[in-house]
Amino acid sequence: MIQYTKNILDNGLSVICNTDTGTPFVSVNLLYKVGARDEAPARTGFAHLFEHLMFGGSTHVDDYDFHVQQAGGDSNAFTNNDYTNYYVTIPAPNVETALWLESDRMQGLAFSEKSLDVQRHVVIEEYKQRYLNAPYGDVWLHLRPLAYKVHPYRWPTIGKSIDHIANATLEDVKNFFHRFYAPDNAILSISGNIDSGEALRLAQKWFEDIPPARYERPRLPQEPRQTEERRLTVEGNNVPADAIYKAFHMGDRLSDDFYACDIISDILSNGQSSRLYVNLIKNSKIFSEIDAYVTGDMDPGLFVFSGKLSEGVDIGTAEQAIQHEIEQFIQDPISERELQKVINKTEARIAYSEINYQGKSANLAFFDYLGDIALINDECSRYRNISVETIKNTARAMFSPENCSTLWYLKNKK
Amino acid sequence: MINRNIAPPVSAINRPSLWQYQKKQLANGIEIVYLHDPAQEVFKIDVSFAAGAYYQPRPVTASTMLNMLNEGTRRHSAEEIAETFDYHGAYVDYNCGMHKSEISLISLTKYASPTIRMLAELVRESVFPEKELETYLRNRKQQLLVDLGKTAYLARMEFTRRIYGEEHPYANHFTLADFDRVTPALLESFYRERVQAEGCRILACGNVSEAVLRELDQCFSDMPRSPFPPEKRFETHPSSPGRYRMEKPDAVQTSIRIGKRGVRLTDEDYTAFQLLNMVLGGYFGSRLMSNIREEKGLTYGIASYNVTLPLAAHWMIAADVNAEQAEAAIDECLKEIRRLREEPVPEEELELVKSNFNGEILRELDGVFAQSDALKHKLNYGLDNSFYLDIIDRIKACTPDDLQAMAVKHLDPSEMIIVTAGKS
Repeated sequence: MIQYTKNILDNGLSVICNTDTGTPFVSVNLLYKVGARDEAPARTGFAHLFEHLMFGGSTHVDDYDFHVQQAGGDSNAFTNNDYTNYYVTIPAPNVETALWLESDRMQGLAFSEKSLDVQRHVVIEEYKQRYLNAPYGDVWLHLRPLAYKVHPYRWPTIGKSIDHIANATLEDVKNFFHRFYAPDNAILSISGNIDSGEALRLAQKWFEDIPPARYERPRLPQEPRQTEERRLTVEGNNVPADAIYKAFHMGDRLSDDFYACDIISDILSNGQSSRLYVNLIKNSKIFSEIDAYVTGDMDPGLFVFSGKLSEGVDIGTAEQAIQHEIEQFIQDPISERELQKVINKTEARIAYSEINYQGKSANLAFFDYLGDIALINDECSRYRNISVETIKNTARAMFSPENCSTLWYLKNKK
Repeated sequence: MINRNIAPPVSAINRPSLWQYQKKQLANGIEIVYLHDPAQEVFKIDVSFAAGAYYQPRPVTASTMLNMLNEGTRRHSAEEIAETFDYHGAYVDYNCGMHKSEISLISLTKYASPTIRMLAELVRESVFPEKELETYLRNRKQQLLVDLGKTAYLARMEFTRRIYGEEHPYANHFTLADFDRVTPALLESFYRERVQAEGCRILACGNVSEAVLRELDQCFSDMPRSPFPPEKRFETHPSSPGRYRMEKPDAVQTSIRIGKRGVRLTDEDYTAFQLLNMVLGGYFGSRLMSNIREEKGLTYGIASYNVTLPLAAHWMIAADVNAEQAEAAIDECLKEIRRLREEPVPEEELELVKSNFNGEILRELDGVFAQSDALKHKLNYGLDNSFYLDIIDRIKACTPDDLQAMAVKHLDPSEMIIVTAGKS
């Protein structure tokens, strides 16, 4: 059970505090409600590029990192399709340094051509390192636009192509900042060795004079129901083994569907006693790796099978093997023990995640963004409330061919 | 209105407070070291053996033996073993080091009994079934093929081969063919020799309740002990300094490794050298990051590391860089190294790095689980976490001259091996 307080400042900033005296540090986590989903289709990759620019100095601070390091802190950030998250862990007596830095770059960023130019190059190298130079690195560049035709989830956070990043202008940077980087579009979550009242007082001190943006964001286009099977084969990849991906549309993060799907994915592939591992890796040896998981996006997400084939296995045979597991899942009973195992694993996973204050501050911010911060303590009961019957019905409805996008990712034939 | 031009005052970083660890010896001499925190509902156990790659008769024996421990015991099949851990939400992890091999368990304290018993069964009653071994080896070969497609992997392996020589265990050199030579008999014999009370240590942390300690006692105190055969000694056969290239014609980035032998944890120069390394490439604001990423945008990340092992250490710069500008990046690295040798680090920069270093130590010792990991490593050198308090005092005393002397002594570019992997 995580104890927290939540307050909303007059300018719209949500401030969440959690005390953990088991650490000498405080984590200051600032979530901005902007991600790759908010980009224009012709200018993708921008939210992530912008995250890099946030470290390039602000109105009153030349060098963000210098001050973090001088105070013994550590900071980083990540961007996904739904949001951008910045965090600093810093020795508790220096927490104000983190609040000063974060509030300063919220109230005004130093915009410079030089910084933009360098970070464009850095991000292009990141694109190459993660997506082009790594085996299987570009799979999601193919799979997203296959599964999504309308929703902005159709492009990855890094962007559709290097060109979009290369063409970003300073004007784009400024517009983006003024729309999205404001207190009424952010959640400040503080966790660690600090009293809640003190944390709130310091948050007010540094953030309350920053004006809200009051930006009315356009509604995102929602993905229409998929009505026919989609398939794509990408040949000639320089990888040692063929791979297959099957993505099915599922519910959003707050829906019961999400919890049912997560349980399905656990029964299928969480741990070495799971069905896919035992049947397809150990027994039939069709795959060398296989996984089933949910993306967990805010808007309706994907249930994904991904597998790497063993040498000499025909990809059609491999796909049938997955199909067979799906059919078995729908037909065969789920034992009480199998379900209890998933519940136990979830309970343990939540207990492990509460060890770390940095994770706690990030999770508190995330659940607040979802619209229900209390959910952080209700996750376990949400899982428990899913009946075997719901699991079955969910699987039957979801695992239909017309709800599926299949990618065959084939190796180079030498 | 608040004045944002004035930075809030920064306090000196606190000295870490160390958890008191306790020791307990089992009847067969196995030492249990534990850090008990009743506020946790979780515990972690690491059982380590002198069964690392250093002692293996042939490449990949140690890692294969270790990773096969959960593939069947005299009493349970692989599937039943996995089912026991999964059912209780426990995780088991295997870590094959150069000297130590380790099996770790993380579990809810309320399930201590079934999870610790199964852990002990893996350690004490493992069998190496032919069929499971075949699957494991096939998948490992596939994984190696994936790795061989990565320039970073090629560069890393080539670098350690050049530093220690292909035959030295620290080079950890292996090929696809090595997997074909692994047999159940080979694993069995290595397991019998190495996984036993001699050379075994158990580290426990988190909620190490009475029940946890009792289980450990019951499960491990009658584990047999027998002396090891005489230890083999390995000579290093380093390649001459200079350039070495691994070809990967289709690569859009080139992986770079620049380095030489490093400074060991127990050497007098260790602290000052670590500090010097941090200035060069050991934190986000390092000279390499500032120059090659933040100034020139040639890479997503560049860093330098001092890797210290019980018998030797190596030091290197590592980066994946824009293929067209790999030579420019290497030149800049060497330029930064020379600058450290020729000019003292400015006081202000040194102060910054010292603060960052102290912050990092505090982070390495943040919480009972982190302190346990840190302690585990130090115990291998006959030290404990008071090592860090000594380091903190030494850091404080370091001057720009000390760092320059370290650079002159340990970072001579003419002694360095430079490996690139990518298109030429």
